This record gives sequence, C-alpha cells and structure tokens, in this order.
Amino acid sequence: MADKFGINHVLIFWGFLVLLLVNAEFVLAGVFPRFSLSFLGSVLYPALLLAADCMSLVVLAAVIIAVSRRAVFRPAYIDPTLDAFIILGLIATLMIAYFGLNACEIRLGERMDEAPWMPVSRLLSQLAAPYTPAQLHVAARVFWCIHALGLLFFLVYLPRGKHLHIITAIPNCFFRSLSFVTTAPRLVFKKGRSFGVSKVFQFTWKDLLDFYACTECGRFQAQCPAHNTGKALNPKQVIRTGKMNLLTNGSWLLAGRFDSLAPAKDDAPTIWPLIGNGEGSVSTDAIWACTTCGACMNACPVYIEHVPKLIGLRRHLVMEKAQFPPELINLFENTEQRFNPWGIAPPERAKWAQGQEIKVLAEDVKVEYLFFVGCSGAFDSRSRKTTQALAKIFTKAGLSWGILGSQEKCCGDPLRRLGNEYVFDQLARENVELFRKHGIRHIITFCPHCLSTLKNDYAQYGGDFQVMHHTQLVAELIRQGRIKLAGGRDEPIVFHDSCYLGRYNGVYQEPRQVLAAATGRAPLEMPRRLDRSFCCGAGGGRMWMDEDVGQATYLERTREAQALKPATICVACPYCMTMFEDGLRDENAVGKVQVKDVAETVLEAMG
Amino acid sequence: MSGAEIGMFVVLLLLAVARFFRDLYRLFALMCLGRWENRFDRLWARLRSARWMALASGEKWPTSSASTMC
Repeated sequence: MADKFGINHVLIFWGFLVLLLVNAEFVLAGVFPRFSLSFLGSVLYPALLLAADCMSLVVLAAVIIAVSRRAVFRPAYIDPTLDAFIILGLIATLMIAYFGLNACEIRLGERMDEAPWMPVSRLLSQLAAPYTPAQLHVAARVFWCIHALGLLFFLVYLPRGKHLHIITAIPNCFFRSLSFVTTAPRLVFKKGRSFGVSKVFQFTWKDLLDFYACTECGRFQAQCPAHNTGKALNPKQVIRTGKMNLLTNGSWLLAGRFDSLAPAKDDAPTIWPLIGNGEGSVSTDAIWACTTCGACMNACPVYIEHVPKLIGLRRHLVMEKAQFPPELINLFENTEQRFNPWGIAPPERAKWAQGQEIKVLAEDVKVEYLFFVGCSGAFDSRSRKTTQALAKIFTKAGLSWGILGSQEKCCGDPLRRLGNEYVFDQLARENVELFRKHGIRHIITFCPHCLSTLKNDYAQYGGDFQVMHHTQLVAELIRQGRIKLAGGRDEPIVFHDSCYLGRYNGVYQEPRQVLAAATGRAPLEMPRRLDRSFCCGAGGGRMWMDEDVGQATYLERTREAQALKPATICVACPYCMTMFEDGLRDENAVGKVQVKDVAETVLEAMG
Repeated sequence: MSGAEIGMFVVLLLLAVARFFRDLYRLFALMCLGRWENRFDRLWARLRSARWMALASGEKWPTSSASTMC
C-alpha cells in the first residue's frame, strides 16, 4: 500500500520552500550584483544559509530515492514518465550547481563570513584544494551559469508538465468539496439543453482545475477495484486524458475568442472527442467499468473528484446517445415502469411482510420510524431473510415503525450512478413527496445504497429527514438496552465494509460494535478495510452489468476474506451479500463459509 | 559579472518570466472555459480546515471515523 511514500515528498516540498528564498537571492544578485539577503540580520541570515545548505543535501538525497523508485525499485502504481525524470534531473542539477558554486567561492575565500553556516559546501570545498584560483574562477562561473539556466528552464517548463501541481495543488485543496463527495450535481431538465458531458469544457471549472492539480502519484490507481482486476479503467489515465483533451481542444478554441475568460458554449467545436478510443479520449469501456466505490477520491492527496466526472460522461451516453451496455435496458425499463430493477409487479413489494403484524403507512397510521425496505430487501429472496430479521429486531425492541408497502418505489441509486438522471429525477421527486405526505422524519434503510441516496442525493430535492442505516439504529438500541443479546455462536466472523456505508457515509464503527456485542468478540479484519476497503464490484450499477473483462472483482474480495479462514463473512449491504455468495459459489466454498447480514447475526444472538 | 553578462541574464530572465506568466494565464483561460460552479462558499470553513495543508506532508490526514478503529 502507498502509506509511506509521502516522506520523500515532504522532504522535497519543504526543501523547495527553503531553497525558494536562496534562489530568489541568487536571481536578484544576478540582476543587482550587490544584492544579498544579509539584511535579514545576524541570526536569520545565517539560519537561512544553514537551512539551505542542509536542505540542498536532503533534497539531493530525496531526488536520488525518487529516481531509484522510478528506475529500479518501481512500485506498480508509479509510471516512470520522461516528465518525472526531466524534473528530477533538473532539481539534482540545481543542487549540484549550488554546492559547486558555493564550494568554489569558499575555496577562493570570497564567502569566508558565511562559510561556517554552510557545512556541506565547506566540506565540499576541500575537494577543490588541488585546483588553482584561475581554474576555480572558471568552475564557479560554469556552476553559476548551470544554476541560472537551470532555474530559468524550470520556470518555463513548470506549467507544461505534471509538476504544475506545485502551483495548482494548494488551490485545488482549498476549493475541494468540504465533505466526501457523495453525490453528483442535480440536472435541470429544460428543452434545448444538453445533458451530461461529451466535451471537456462541459465539465465545471473545478473539474478542469482537478486536471491541472493531478500529481500522477498513482495512489488511487493502486486502490481502484476496476484497475486492479484488469478492467479498462485507470483513474489516473482518465485525469491525464482530460488534461490532454483540454489543452488541445481548449487551445484551439481560445485562438478564435476574444472573451477568453467566459465559459464555452455547448456547441463549441472540438478537435478531439472526449469519449472515444483515440488519443485524448476516455473509452466507453473505462467509463462503464467504474463501481463508483470512491476509493480513488479517498486516496487522492489533492482531493481530485473522479467519480462525478465519470457519472457526467455516463449521463451523456445514456441520455443523449442511448449508448450503454445492453444488459442495462431491462434495468432502465423495469425501474421506470415498475419502480424496481427486476420488473416485478409493485404490489409484490410487501409480500415479505405477509402474515406479520407490520404497520403499512397510511393517512391514519403514523409511526416514528419508516423502514425503507428497498428493492433488494423486498424482492430478492436472500435479502428478504435479512428484511424479516430486521422486522423481528425492531418489533422485539419495541420500536414504533412501519413500511410504505406497495407505495414504496426504488430509491434510484443504480439509475443515478449509471447516468440515467431523467428517470432518477422522477423517482426522487415522487419519493420525497411520498415521505412528506406521511410526515416522515426518521428513515431506517436496509441497504447502504438506499441510505446514501435518501440522505445525500435527496437533499438536492428538499429531503430534510434523518436517514440511518440499520446497523446504526441497532447499535443504538443495544446501547439503550432495548435489544437483549443472549450471545451468539463462537465462530470466526470477518466483516466487509460496504463502500456506500463506509467511505460514502462514514459508518465504520457501528457494524463492528454490533457484531462485537452479538458474538462477544471483535470481527476479523481484512487487510483492506475501513476507508481503504475493497469494493465487492456491485456499486455504480455494476450489479446489473456483466463482468467479462479481467478477473471478477467479487472473487478478489471473496478470496481476501477467505484467507482469514472465517466461518461467516458478515456484510451490511444486499449487493455485497450477492457478490460474496457468488464468490463462494465460484470458489466451491458454499456450506463451508456462510454470508450473513449483521442483522441476521444479531437476531441469532437475541435467541 | 560584466555589464554584458548581467544584461544577457536580465533578458533571459525577463523572457522566462514572461513565458511562465503567459502559460499560466493560458491555463487559467482554459479553466474558465468550464461551466460555472460555486466553490467560493464557506470560505472561512475552507481556510479554517487545515487539511489542505496536509499537501505539504505528502499524505492525506486520516478521517477521524476510520482512524479510531483498529
């Protein structure tokens, strides 16, 4: 994992800041030969000289390490680009020239007052002992020229390469989303407008700033489930491609404009298409491979927002071009016509509750908590067991709760992640209206995708209710003593963090607390856990798509869980449940390892 | 340094600085081609949030909820 390679970066960064001052002195002294920063005083100036001398050595060492990480001990996520070698070579040249110049001047006796504060240069000056003063004068002049030309070249080269991030990364961090990006912007549907992104300048200015700010560090690449299982998607490449496309199309567009600081129009011509298979284009395979798990955004050190960009591209493909994987046709049609992905008749939604005393909300039936069952919880035979377990837990805990029954509609999560914003918009408006009609203030969800959609996406539609995942409520009920646990089976359980529960909504502790209370011991942890959890492969609408390229994502995660030799893999998401069950089937481990929802484990422990 | 050398350095310096700012302006103009989005809200919160300074450390600060476990 890319945990520790920030150390080298911090050395180069802080060295750069210290050396910025002495390089400013160097440039000004080149224009005004008598200029010196010695006016800083007898304490600050020597301190600056000492810091610059020592940091130059540190930076030189950091550059050597950086070069060896690209040329010799290269981790898979680092690309040894020419750009990187040019900048690293340039920095090394500047440091060597700096030491060479200082050493020659000290040897010539020109900087005797400052020499005590330049220990490295003084030490190196001893190497110059065999040379005559005339030779040292020439050498000093050569080092000065190399240093001066190096600095000027650096200035010219900086805006052209990835090291532009020296300038853009800090503003990009400043303008970042102040919380984890959990949603995509709402679209306003008006005649004559285009939807989604098909040209680079249809991104927002912040998206374009993201392109400039990318350091190409590769951290998110190392954590992307699509990239790690051999799919066409490489988040770093998407950002790099976006930048190339902007530089090419934008430069051409700017050439013919006078009001060059105004946003481009939708019909502005472009040379390179943004979506396609050529240079400067993002392929459709890459666009559809994203699980929207958010691992890339979580790992990015400069807060680049990858997922909304890919959703913008999907929106264009779905709503403007009707170009999407054929297996999504059924999903789109079923959800639009029957309000669930399987196309099952809406009255079937409450079938799981038959024979149980469960309140269905109506004008004269009011409850404190709405249990938003969701499509999986209502229709999927395996997930129905979790729904029924939850119903029993809520009833035993004496909770005032009810369901919407056949009035409930899909929350629209897969539609929004897949770019079918038009149908999502309809569902979101209808659901929010329904919640308002019943005066609902508190919603419990079974599925993390419903949780995130109701909590984060519906906020754009005026949804002002409190939404919580069932593990959060169950944890609270246990704390309040309203759930009595008799103790579960003493068997090893491993817990998998769902992306939409953890990364998207910050719920990490509650499922673990519930499992610990139910089983008497903390669950086993996979190497990739918490905010670095590895996606099961079903998010972003991938649940409804074939995975025929590379290795199956669910299989990689299942194997990671199996490596801990658990009796049970515990999940808190119906999608993850399906994926792990598929994984165990592929691994011929059905019967040896079970997959359970946290709620089922709690119900078992309640006796 | 002689006057000619200083003069040559000044010319090269001015050319490099001019080129640098011209390129930066061009990049800024390209960025302005994008659609408007309000990221100027909650400026105090943005300034107060020291996390953006984490850039200097070359590593993001861990999220509090995640870091408390394990």
